[in-house]
Amino acid sequence: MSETHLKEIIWVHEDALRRDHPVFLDSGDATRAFIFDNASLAQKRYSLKRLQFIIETLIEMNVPIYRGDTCACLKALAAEEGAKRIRMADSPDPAVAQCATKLRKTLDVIEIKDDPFLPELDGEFARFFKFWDKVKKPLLT
Amino acid sequence: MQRFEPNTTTPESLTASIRTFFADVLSDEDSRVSPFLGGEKAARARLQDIDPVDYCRSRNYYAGAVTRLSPYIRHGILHPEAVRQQALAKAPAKEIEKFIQELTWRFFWQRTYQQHPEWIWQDIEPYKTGFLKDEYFADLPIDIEQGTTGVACIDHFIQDLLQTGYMHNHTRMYVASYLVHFRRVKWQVGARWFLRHLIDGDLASNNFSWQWVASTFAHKPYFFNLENVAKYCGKHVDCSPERNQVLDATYAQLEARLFPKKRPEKEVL
Repeated sequence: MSETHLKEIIWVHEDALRRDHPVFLDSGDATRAFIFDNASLAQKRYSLKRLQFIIETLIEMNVPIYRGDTCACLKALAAEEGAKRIRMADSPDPAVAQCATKLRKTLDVIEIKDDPFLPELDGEFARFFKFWDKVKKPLLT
Repeated sequence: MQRFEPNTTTPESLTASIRTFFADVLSDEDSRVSPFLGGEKAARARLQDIDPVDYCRSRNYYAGAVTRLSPYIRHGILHPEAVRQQALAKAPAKEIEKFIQELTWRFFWQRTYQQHPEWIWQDIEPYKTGFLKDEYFADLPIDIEQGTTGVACIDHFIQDLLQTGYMHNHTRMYVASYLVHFRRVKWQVGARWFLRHLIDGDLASNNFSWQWVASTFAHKPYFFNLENVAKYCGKHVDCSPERNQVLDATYAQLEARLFPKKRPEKEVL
């Protein structure tokens, strides 16, 4: 079996809840999973409003929903399915990155970036309007 | 690992099944569901209705033509390019520059967060209020948490948050400023509280905006008076002086009251 045909689990998280996100492209019938992480729930204490909004979205996407320790859940699902790879959308959330790092000890993990909205820029911008001056041209055409 | 099997028979049965599955993390009082429906279908319907020209004219007003797309953009349900394209389909770019600029703010904050992850919960700079960080309270007052402060407009805005999970951006600034400057509570306390309830809650946008209001990411604190609230919200919110007494003052009076230890700007310069 070639590298590209490894059986995969698609880890769906709350930063990429769109069916045409590149993480789902060419993913076939790979198992998908969204996990409400117990430690994260205890820390963030999301209200019912936040939980229901996310869950309604997942139901529409037909993504199975779990609760537990995210890493442990993904490892268990991978073992059940005989999957060797976790495919995930990239995320600014450090908890997602930490979990991905842990998963890499035993599984192949690939992070898929969303289609870019802004041009790539180097350097820091202390003020928004300097940043805006650099990015506005393509956005206004 | 527990799998959640939602009961989707009716909206009420779905809510009931969520409350049961998450009973250990939801309080008994937390029974409100947002009027915002999750999912791409709802997002696309809302996207069709945007009026980017009116947005540019009226966005700062409580009943202005804001899109309320932020919950969908925050979760990646809508790609911002789809929003930009829809806006450009409705008006030429020169008429909707402010709309597209506002769409870009989120990415500026995300970029700042990626470059400085340590800033997200720490004061980036000292407060410019004359107070040290240890002089701010570390707990959320119960009257704020419940929206029963007795300041009519602030209570109205908090009820928006508690009942819908959404607040107009201008009212987020009012409530943040009230918490940090009128009640002298650490911005981090308010930021956590907002993230708990806002269905568009985004760590970078939320926390850096709170730091801007607090003055730990700005050269001066953001504060407001009743006249300003009345201008932008007066037709829809109780802005009567008798029910908003603490806000009913000039900016000079408020500055002297809220920041008594702050040196005048001329002296600072």
